[in-house]
Amino acid sequence: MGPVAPAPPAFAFERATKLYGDLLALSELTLEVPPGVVFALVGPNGAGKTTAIGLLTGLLAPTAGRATVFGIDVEEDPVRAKRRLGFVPDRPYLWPRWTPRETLRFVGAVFGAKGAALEERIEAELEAFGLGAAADRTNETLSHGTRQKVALAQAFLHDPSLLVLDEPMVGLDPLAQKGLAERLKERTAAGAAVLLTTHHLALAEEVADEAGVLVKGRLVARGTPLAVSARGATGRLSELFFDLAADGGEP
Amino acid sequence: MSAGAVSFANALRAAGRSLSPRSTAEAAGVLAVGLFSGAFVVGEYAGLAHLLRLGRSAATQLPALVPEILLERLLLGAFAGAGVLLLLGALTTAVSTLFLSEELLLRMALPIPHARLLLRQVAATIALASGPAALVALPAVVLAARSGAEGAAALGAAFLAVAVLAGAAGSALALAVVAVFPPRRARLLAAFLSATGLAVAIVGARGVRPERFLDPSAALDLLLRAGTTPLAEPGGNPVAIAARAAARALAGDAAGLLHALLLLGGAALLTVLLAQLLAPLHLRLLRRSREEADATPRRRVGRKAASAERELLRAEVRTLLRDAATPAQLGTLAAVFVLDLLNLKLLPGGDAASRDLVHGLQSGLGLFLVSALALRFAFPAVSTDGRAALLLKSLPLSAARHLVVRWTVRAAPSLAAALLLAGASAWALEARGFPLGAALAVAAVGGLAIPALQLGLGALFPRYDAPNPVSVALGPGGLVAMGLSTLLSLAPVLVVSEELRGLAETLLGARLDGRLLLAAWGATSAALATAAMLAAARRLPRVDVSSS
Repeated sequence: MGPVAPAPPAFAFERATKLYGDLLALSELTLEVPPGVVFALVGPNGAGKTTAIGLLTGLLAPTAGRATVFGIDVEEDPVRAKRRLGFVPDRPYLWPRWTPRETLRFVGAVFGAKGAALEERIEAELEAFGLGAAADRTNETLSHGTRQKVALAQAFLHDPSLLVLDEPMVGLDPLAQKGLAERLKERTAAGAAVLLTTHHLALAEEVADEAGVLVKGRLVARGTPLAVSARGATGRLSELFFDLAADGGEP
Repeated sequence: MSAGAVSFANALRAAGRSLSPRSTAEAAGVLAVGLFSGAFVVGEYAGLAHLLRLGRSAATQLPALVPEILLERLLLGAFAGAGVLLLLGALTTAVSTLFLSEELLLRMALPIPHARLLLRQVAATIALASGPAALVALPAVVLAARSGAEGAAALGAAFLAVAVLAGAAGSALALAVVAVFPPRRARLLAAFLSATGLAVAIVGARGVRPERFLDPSAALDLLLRAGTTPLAEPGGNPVAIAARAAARALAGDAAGLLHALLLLGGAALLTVLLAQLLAPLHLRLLRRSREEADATPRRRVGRKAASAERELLRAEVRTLLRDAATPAQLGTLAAVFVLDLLNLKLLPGGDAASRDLVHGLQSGLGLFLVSALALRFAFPAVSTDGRAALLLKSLPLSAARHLVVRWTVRAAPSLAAALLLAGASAWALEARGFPLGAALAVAAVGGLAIPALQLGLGALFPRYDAPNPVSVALGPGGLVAMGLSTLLSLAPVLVVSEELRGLAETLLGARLDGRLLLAAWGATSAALATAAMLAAARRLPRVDVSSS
């Protein structure tokens, strides 16, 4: 019997680079995150957070390097990679004339769920995100926060091994934010990994097991929120963030 | 249920919701569309049934006529026309469904193979683009069903095959256009190409002078030629194959239905293969278009802000020119303009009295076109602010001042169109003296007053939540505005044409002075336009944006 291959990371970027014309959006990003970890990617607007997420979800192709999900190259086998993913984009795009229930039913069916089991799961997610009253109204009539909850519910629906959440807290009330933070902890306790981008630095400190600071497409700091924060003058992530953003990534 | 079945069921329910009105205004709109569609289908059915009876009667009186040949030729023309229209429609639709759809981005993040995703979007393109053509085809299929189910099925299958092929070709063409231009610009170009294609078709149809077939001998000659000259073998031409298959099935040949179904199957298979083949290219173009949207635009040399009026003026011009439907509608307008001139050139020369009569009618027609133009470009001007109205209302900007700026921009195309139409008509009809001056004055006053009237009426009850300017224009307010401006367009007929004025004098038993009529009409137009603008300026600050 040969040696047992090490388990692949939940997600990884290997010297991933992305150019938009002349603009360098992501510069040789190298990062590996194991299962069971909430990883918060923070950085100022235009730092490359959404680009990194785009590479991981197959919405964008890397100019160089690669992104993998549980060892699967997203470019080479996008469908298999996406089967492991639950994704919430930076804006809650939803089918405007569908209802939240119909949206979840479709997403569940894409992931192979069906019948009574799917309906039960849909009810559970609707309840978990407090969407019961909105379940049968069309998405276009919902408030931004409620649409965000629908986007989150569809990402959690199939118990993904990796949750990729781009600014998930935008539009959520404090109660919903707290509920989401708890659910993220539950998912990672069950072995899933989470990649989230946020400008909500206090939340990143509270929820994340690890954090990375991206500035001008470069990962300039990485570690536990505590360790990363310690690099700043006051030991707070927010202070480090301001310093890095002001100095263009040179603390 | 599979994901595809769930998606289809959701789409059907969503379509049902679109038809379920949420307000009285929406109910009126749905009812109007339903009544119009129903009347159209019934009218076309009656017309086709009448033609069929005439055809049968002609066939008994003209033994040389071969009904199968005539039918196949008619179907060939209908399918070819439908194919071209569907191709043009699919091109514009496909740029949106394949590159600008938010639904596509949603689906892209799910584990769905890209070829299947592309096939789904192409199918949506075909369905969206062929809707109006299907409405036109429906009465013919129902009429065919009266003679037998096989013939109707073959006709339906042949039409569907043409629609699928044209839609798939339009989608492939959209990919080619987006390979060269970014999607938003490509959509404008596609819309312009579609409108221009349609315009060329209309002008071409007018150019063959269809009125000459009102002459019985010319019509008989044409009928005999169309019904006796055999058609060439279809070869690989799918439109000709569709026409022959449907014609055969309608004539009772069972092979016709088989051929039509085979053609439909082939068209569907070709679409699936096309989606497989083009999926990598589509993914590359789609990603590129997203990257272009994300890339920082090149910094332009900053133009310093001028006065508030000039900035407002520039903002209004930008809003007008960046409206996605503008190029297509300007293309259609150009076609109407050419058609109008062609009409004048093709009319029999006639004497001075006939020319004077036509000149008067042309003045009315010119202002009617200006009304239609203003309905599209001036009436929805305030509503198209959408949620930005919240920001505008928070600015220290007088509503009256802003309305005047909007009118300056929105009236310009109307004034230009009115003067061009009036000038061209006067030139073609050799108008001189008072009729020429009156026609130009009417065009100038109408070109300025009608947009002001429509802008003011549109601003009285703005619809900030409307999805696009066309839906604002087609609402109940738009119909009222169009009715009023059409009334304003009618009066100048008496101002410009001495013949018509004379007729009115006889009917009324009173003398009508052209100059006085012109002054009265001009004053009324100006008063109505000013009143609408003033009322809008008073009401706009009190409109609750959030409840709109």
